[in-house]
Amino acid sequence: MNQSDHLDKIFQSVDEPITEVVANHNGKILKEFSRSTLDKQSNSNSNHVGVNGQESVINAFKNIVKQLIPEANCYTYAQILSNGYNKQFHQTSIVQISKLFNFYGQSISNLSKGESTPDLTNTMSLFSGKHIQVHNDLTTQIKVATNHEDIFDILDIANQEKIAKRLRYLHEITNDDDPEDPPMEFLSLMELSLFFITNGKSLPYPQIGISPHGLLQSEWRSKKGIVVLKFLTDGKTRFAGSLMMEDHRQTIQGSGTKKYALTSIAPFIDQI
Amino acid sequence: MQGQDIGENHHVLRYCKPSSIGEDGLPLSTAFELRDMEDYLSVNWLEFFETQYLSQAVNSVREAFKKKNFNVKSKGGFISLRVDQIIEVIQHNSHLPARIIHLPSKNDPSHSGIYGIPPSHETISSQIAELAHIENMHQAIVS
Repeated sequence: MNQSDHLDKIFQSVDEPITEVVANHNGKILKEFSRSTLDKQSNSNSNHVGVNGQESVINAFKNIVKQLIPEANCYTYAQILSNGYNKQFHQTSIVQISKLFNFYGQSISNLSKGESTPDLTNTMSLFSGKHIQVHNDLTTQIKVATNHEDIFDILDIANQEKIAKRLRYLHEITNDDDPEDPPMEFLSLMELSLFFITNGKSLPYPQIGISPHGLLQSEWRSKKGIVVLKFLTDGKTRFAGSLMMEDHRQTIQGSGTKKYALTSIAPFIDQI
Repeated sequence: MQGQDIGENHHVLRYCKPSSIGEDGLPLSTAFELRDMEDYLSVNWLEFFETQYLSQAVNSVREAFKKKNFNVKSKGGFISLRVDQIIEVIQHNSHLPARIIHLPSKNDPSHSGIYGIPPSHETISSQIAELAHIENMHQAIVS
């Protein structure tokens, strides 16, 4: 079942009568509830929409969220602002809504800044899962993140603040360093972040750099040697290491999955 | 390719932009990776300036960067490395011939190139990074 079918199924399953689906937006596949569409529908066909169009939208969203994230609570954007929830709550909400909106194939970069898009004016809602559920599912949140800042925020939540701080710095200065340099590859950032909140979580804090191709690379080094691990955009890695032994230099190099890389480089890192 | 090979007992200086310097103040491996379309790593030959004072040679390189309007950053740095050590790393890990060649230009007379590094070769870039020591790191801009 593709995303579109999945969404259609969700639409069909909600109790509230649903309005039309908008299918195209700037060339992207987009399915959304539009307030203006709702209002039009409301005026023209009362069978499709309730008396209050906005309430119908929120209820419809609630139902979709229940399908996607059973533990989630649903709040309007206005409710969240007026209740003054803390930053973590906002991050949580944004992550959750990004998960929801991935089903629409729509970027929510503007939403992460607390703005609503023109298409969603007056119908914007934010959703919050329970905090415990969020903390247990950071990998999913990274996988559905849609911009660099989202991932930096998730790393903060995952107690990888130092890595997040370094990545923010690299993200900010890369273009300033040299305008010819490509920006930080989002997929490389995603892979590095997944690594450091899962398999690589217990590794010592690494130096992190960015290659001339925008790929992120972690390094561990001392006077004894060096190990580097580069995160490619296809989920694979390349790694290399060099360690000075008593009478010879031991080296390693290879490529493969993150798990394979970790198995290969961990003995080197232990000795550095 | 033009110019003379630089003597193995000589030194070259490599500019490291801020994003390629680690939090320990040393250049990261990424400082020694080639960009697409590059077939050599740009460096400056220090002995070209024929001064016994390293600081004078480094200053001359800073001046050259100014003249050619290179956008040097205050948080960037220059690392000086020994030619023979770089050549050894490349010879051990590359199928390409390892050479460091003087490639002077009008505004940058000591400009040189390290040849023999294949693209995206983490082993070579990391082993060159390993040659860097903090005492050989120089500020990119001196106020």
